[in-house]
Amino acid sequence: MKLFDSWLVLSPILVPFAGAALLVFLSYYQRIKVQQRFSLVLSILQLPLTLLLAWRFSQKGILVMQASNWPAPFGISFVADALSVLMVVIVAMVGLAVNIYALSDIGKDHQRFAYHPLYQLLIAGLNGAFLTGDLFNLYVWFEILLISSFVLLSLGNDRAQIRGALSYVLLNLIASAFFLMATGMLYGYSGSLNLPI
Amino acid sequence: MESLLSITVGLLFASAIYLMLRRNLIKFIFGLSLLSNAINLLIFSLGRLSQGLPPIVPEEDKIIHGKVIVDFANPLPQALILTAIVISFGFTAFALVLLYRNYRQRDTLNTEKLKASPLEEVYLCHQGSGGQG
Repeated sequence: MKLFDSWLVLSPILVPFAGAALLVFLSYYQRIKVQQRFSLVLSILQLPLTLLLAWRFSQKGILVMQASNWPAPFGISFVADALSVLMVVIVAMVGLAVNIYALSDIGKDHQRFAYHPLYQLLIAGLNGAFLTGDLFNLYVWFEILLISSFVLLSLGNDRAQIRGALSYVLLNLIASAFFLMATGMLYGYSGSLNLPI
Repeated sequence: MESLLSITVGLLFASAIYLMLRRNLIKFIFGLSLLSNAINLLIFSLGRLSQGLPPIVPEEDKIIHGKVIVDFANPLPQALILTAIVISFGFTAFALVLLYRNYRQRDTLNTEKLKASPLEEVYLCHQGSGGQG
């Protein structure tokens, strides 16, 4: 049961991540319908998984997944507490709604090329940022989220798009540099990057 | 050693911020990569510097050459820095490509000449192509 819980905690990250990897291969053939359906299936699949996670959380309390069973201050841990379970369920619901809306609103050229894998990667980064129990891992998930949002913003190579993406990218790069600096300083003071400690 | 590193970090920060305040976007990118290098050095010095010590000592190897090893080098900051270097490399590459696209479309790298807001830009685009945009 402990193993099941570990996989359950990881599932909101693993499903969109593996799906994004498969969608990259699908986008090579540039078939819109296949990509749309697969992306939709991934978004729908996340809803029962996160609800199952919420149910297990209400039964057992805080669920922890330790990577390769290393004890807490040394290994990388994923923690599902009340806030992260709530946020992950919200992400699954909003993500499904956005995915359905995007079927009609996003232009055919964007969908054919790389919209769907990038969207799933964005969801994976978001879920990872909510579920991680390690400050540096939070930074890494944040960067995954940011890089996919950068590409989603500048997809299409429009004049206005590039101008908007440029200021968004540069401001975010400064901000994430300062986030990294704060992480390093916190590590220097506390000696650990684990969030629960 | 710590003081030398902190002076280096301070100098790198100062030059990074000087470069980022220029009006040239290429200089901004250079400033950004200097800033990430400064932060890497900062993390390195925050993880306690040590010289000539092994990073991980197994329990049975604690006695080497008749001496008991009680101290060991901290391997974690180097792992953090390696990750940060890879991420900043990827971001710098992406920002350079974006800059090049912007340069191809507008023939300028000066931030003063990029002043039009994105909304205004959309409006101008629609005007220019007869509402097709």
